[in-house]
Amino acid sequence: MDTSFNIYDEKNIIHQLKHYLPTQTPIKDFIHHNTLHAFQDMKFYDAIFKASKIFGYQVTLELDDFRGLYKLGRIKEDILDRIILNKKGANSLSEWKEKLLNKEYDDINIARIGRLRAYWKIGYNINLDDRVHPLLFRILCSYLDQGISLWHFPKIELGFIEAIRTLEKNSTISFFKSKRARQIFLDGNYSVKELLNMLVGDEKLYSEYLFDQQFAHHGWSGMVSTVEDMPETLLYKKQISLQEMIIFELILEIDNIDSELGTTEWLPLSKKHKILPVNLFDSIPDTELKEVFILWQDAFEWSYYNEILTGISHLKSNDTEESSEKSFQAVFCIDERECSIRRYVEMADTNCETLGCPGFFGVEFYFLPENGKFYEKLCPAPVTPKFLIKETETSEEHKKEFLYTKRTHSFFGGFFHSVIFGYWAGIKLFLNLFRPKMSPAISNAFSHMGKDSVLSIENKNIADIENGLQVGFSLKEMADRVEGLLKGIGLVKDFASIIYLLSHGSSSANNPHHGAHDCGACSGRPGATNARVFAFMANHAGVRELLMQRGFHIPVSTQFIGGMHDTASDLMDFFDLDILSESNAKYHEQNWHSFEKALDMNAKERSRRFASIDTSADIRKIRRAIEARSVSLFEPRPELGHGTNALCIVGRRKLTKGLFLDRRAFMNSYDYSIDPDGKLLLGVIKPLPIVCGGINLEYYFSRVDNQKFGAGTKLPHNVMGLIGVANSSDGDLRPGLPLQMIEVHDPIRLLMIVEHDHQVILKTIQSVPDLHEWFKNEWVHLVSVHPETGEYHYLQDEVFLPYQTLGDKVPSFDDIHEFIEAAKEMETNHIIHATQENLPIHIIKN
Amino acid sequence: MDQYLINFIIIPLLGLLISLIPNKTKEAQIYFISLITLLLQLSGTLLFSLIFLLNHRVPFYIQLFSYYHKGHSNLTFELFFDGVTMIYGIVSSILGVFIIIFSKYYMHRDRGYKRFFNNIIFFFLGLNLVIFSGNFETLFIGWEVLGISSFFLIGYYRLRYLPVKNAMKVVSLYRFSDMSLLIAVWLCHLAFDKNINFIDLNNTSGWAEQLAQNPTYFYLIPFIFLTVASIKSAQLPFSSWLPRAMEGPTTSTAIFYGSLSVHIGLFLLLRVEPLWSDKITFRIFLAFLGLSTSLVATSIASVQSSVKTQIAYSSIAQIGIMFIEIALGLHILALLHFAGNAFLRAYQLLVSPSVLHYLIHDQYYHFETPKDRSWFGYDHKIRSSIFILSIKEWNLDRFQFKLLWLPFKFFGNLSRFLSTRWAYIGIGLVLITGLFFYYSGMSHYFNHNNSFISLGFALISFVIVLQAFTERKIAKRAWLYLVAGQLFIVLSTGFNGTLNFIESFIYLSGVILSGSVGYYCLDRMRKLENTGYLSGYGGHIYEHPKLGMAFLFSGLALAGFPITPTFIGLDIAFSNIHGELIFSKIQGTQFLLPVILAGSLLFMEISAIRMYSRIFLGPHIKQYHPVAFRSS
Repeated sequence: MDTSFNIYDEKNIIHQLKHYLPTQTPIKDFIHHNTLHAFQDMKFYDAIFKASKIFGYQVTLELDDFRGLYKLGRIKEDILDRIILNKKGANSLSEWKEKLLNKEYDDINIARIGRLRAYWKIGYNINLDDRVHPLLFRILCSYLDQGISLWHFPKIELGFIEAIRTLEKNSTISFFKSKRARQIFLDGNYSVKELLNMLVGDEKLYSEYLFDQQFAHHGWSGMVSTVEDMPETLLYKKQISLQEMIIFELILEIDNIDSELGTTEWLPLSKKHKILPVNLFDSIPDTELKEVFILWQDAFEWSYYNEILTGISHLKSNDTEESSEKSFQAVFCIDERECSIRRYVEMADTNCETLGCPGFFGVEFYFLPENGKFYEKLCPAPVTPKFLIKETETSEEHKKEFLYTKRTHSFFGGFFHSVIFGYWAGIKLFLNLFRPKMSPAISNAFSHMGKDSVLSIENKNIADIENGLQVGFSLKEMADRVEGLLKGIGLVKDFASIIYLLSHGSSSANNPHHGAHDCGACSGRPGATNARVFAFMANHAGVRELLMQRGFHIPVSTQFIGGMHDTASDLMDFFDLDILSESNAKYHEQNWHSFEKALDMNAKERSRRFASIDTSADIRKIRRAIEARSVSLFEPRPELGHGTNALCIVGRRKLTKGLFLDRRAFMNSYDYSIDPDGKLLLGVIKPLPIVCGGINLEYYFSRVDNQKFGAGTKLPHNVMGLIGVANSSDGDLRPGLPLQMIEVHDPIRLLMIVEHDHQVILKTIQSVPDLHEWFKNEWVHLVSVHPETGEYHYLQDEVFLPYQTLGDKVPSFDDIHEFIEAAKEMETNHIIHATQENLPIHIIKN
Repeated sequence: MDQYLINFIIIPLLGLLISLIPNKTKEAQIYFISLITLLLQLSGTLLFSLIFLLNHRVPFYIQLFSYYHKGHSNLTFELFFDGVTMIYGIVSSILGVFIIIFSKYYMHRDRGYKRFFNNIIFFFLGLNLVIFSGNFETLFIGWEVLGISSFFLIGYYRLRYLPVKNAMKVVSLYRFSDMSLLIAVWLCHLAFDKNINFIDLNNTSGWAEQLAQNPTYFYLIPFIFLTVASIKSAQLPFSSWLPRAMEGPTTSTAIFYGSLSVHIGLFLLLRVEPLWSDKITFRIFLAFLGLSTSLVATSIASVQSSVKTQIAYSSIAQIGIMFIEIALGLHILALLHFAGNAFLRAYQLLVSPSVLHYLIHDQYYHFETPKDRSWFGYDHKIRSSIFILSIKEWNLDRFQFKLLWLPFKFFGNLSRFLSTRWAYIGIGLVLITGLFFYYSGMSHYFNHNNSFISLGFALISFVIVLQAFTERKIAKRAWLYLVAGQLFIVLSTGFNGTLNFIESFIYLSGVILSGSVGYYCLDRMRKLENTGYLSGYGGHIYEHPKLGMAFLFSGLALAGFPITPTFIGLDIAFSNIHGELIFSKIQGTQFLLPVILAGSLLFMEISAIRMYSRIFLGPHIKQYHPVAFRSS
């Protein structure tokens, strides 16, 4: 046994705790990430089963679910056979198949965490958590509160412990029940170690005790740890550290035991019981059940992967040359929700071209809305921008919602509001039930930036610096970004007269998780500003000239237009249309019709998953219903977010154009032919595992264990201090995704398909260790498709092996309307029913 | 018109029964049934209100049927409709319709979709029984239904720890209020010398004579009603249950704990207004209670950092003000205040998730670091103390626990000696002998001592039930205690002649039937899951929903829930314990007996529900599927 865990080293143990605790930031900035990021240095399966044993998480579907999926045909027999064959050899095929299908296993998981602190109940019949948690959570929440309470926690500038101590000193009433605990707290001369000595007694057990204690409320501990590391994530800044929280909790524990048993009536745990130290992180035994789960999960994943790879091969065979004359080009975010709208835009105007790139369009900056008091980061979370863009002259006003006033909670205010305006609340409720419409209380993606405001995009003066940020971009900086993006997506020739940059955002009502629906590449915010900024840069005469000098020629007649697609309401809007030349304005008029048509169809396709909408109804009715969902208070699913995501395709549009991917693919445009040695590829691939892999794994884990990884159903959620959600008044914070967002998701890892020679790809990913880790440790699958031969290779144990698709039938349909109307809605959200809503890969004929 | 009042009970009752029929996944059908139920209810209420207003506000009243009649005791089922009923009826049915429509979408695909709508209708049935009741007996049935449906709604997420724990906490308190109500009703019965209905009650001149005879009763009764009302309306010192009741889906929280359920205490006070309106001391006390509640609740609301608990305490504060209003005789204002507050808090709760976006968005433009200078000014000591007190919710939770439950727990633990083999044999012998004497007709030999004997049996019952209440280990043992407790009540009521053979036989059959079913369930669970201990939560409803349901029903039946034989027996017993009976020569016992019996019943239901919770609810101990953390 590795005993390093049992040697108490405070700094180290706090560091470890912080490493394993959830890292979700306050919920206003919802950034998707691998929920088990702490285990990412291990191979996927080793990691998840270890995490499961230590913390008690469910990390795959249940055994019966896999068997059900097999019966359903969702896990295919030939794939399963091949996987068993590859891993166990031909001789054991029938043996293992029998095990997978029929053998009874004891699948009850008993976690390591919680063992030590359970002795309080065993030895002293004290339920310590029940006694400590309510007060601890309430004090934490009051301290971190961003603006719910009317009376703020006093003296927060002193830091967590000091603020409480000052309050405690000034008060005749104490937070504590026993004198001794109060005295310890007020004296202040204690260390974590001394407190642990009082409670536990044996130094070898301290680390485990702290893990037990902090993971009994991982939500709050994770929040405290995150706020400690990133204080800027709160608007109302608070100082707190995990160590302070631990100290306070330990004293509260002493307090409660004292008050229950009397100060002298109890001994530390290790003095009362003989407890052997263990190492929580010890390796876990290999079990047959684990093998069974691995085989099932692989079979589940490859059953789908094989489908898409077969589909792509089929397309290859009827390859047609496209015309180079484009009516317009539209660059969308890689987001898999834009997968369908791209398909419909292409259907509405067969001469157009759509492309994909991360939705911040390569322009990273902080944004300061007019009259705003805080900067908002508009780029992927790991990036730290050096630029600031300020908004001025916006015509939109910040509106207030009358009934949201806090005066209703005061003595007289409450009286007047309930006697006089209470009835108005009834009327408001009535109106929202029958005629939902946009209001200031609804998160509106289009209100993020004033449509006609002025943005300080171009840096006029190099000395114009605010808080260390340069206001606007210089000419060169703009040209670099325009060139970088366009080359990355392979848009270097055949420029159409209008190139649209279409960002996305999402409007929803009554939804604390709205940030999770916005653009992940813009730190969970709508990307409208980025689209506008990029269009401005690309239209800039100086930038064009500079690019020309670099040999990158964009025709003068080509104009860039920024826009935004609201993925919930299926509305689209465009910015700065007044810059269009006369002829382009006319083209835009036509294109706008194409976009509207596409939105119609997109709404229709989405509606098939919504019980409240009849998919075969008149298209205008569907559009209205989709729009209403985004502003309805009673709708917990304004949209379904990234649910079902499974693929990430890096290559030309040609690769998958004509395939029905059911909004499951992130799509990044990339042209191998202009990048034979993979120089551009690195820049393209680098953010994808973090963004797409992060989203995929967050959905994976929230799906397989919606209770421990996820936030559970959102129906009872209570907003705590504007930083998170919890159940009930005394519950722990619930990080992760709520049930309503993940129920359509099939928990499979992301398959990344890159169109290039596999040796080039390998060289590229190996050049950055962090990037390589994602693939090496199998958190994301990688398959290369050779641009000329169409051969597949998949990455396993750091080498690319050839992959042969199984079966050659790919279903197809002629009429998309019929196809979508025929799709059935899930009966319940159990995986066996839910997965049937996800349609197989189809070829779209005609 | 009066005879149509029955529809207010029939509609939700039929709605409830029909809503049990559809399959769990048939959301549209379940919704449709619920909506029709509430729409019928709303139109009926509006129609009655219109006629009531046009008809010079003469109340409607009907005595539907009498289910027991003997001497002065006449147990009847009566309905009534007056101005207070009108306002409560309209507000509740409007909000009901809103919530049903809201929940149609909100609850979509929730695993308990059907259970949720069943519970809502069940709750409305209870609510209607209360607000349309024409006498105390009917009101009491409604009161109990409200309590049980609250348990279901709060513990809706039954596989998590906190909802189950809090549902248990609230239902225990509710049960306390039920039993206080039972005693108040019984005292009324004594005071008026008959079962009184609300028409008689409002006709104050009709009972002036009784008032003159029994001034003590009339002095005592309003205070007991006030206790009952304070519990349901979360007034001091019972306030801390309300935020903890907000465990279910936001919609049910909004309508019940934000608006309807919590105002029902006010309704009760308005209903029994003739009993206290001329008592100045009571009115002063009422106003004082309201004022202190609203001050304390406002201070707690001010420090709440979560949206729903903030709304809960604000609502409590407003109800406190309503108490002041009725104490001042401003009934119309109180009713207007009730309606406004109900709508406002329901709305605020329903939109509570959007507060996050709204306030954060607002902060982006208007944030200023709050200054806290006021906290450390000259009076910082008082302010700091109030701040800490408010964060600790004025220790109300702890106080309640100490005041209400700890003494009984202590008492129950004291009499642990009863849990020995000799004690079992002794209890068994006493029981058998008692039953033998009673059913062989020999009990009349003890006539002159009967009151003592029956008091003795009642005491034994109480002590045994406390054993069940404090039993933390073996479920079957606790269950047998409960059955034995009921048997002793049969003996107690039989010996003093309140129940005749047939009546006691009805009672006994109820006890035996539910006792056997419950025992069978426990036995099955023991065999299937090797469980049967009460030390922690098992969550076995995940695998055994039917067994869980059967056990729950048998538990409720055993504890005397309405419409069960046990309940009818109990009801008769209570109305029969009366001064004119044989044991009147010893004055003390006629007060003690009902109080002890009520105590038995109180802990019986709590124990039964707790057994159910421990075995079937909470986080499932078999973790092969996602199970929530205890703290979440």
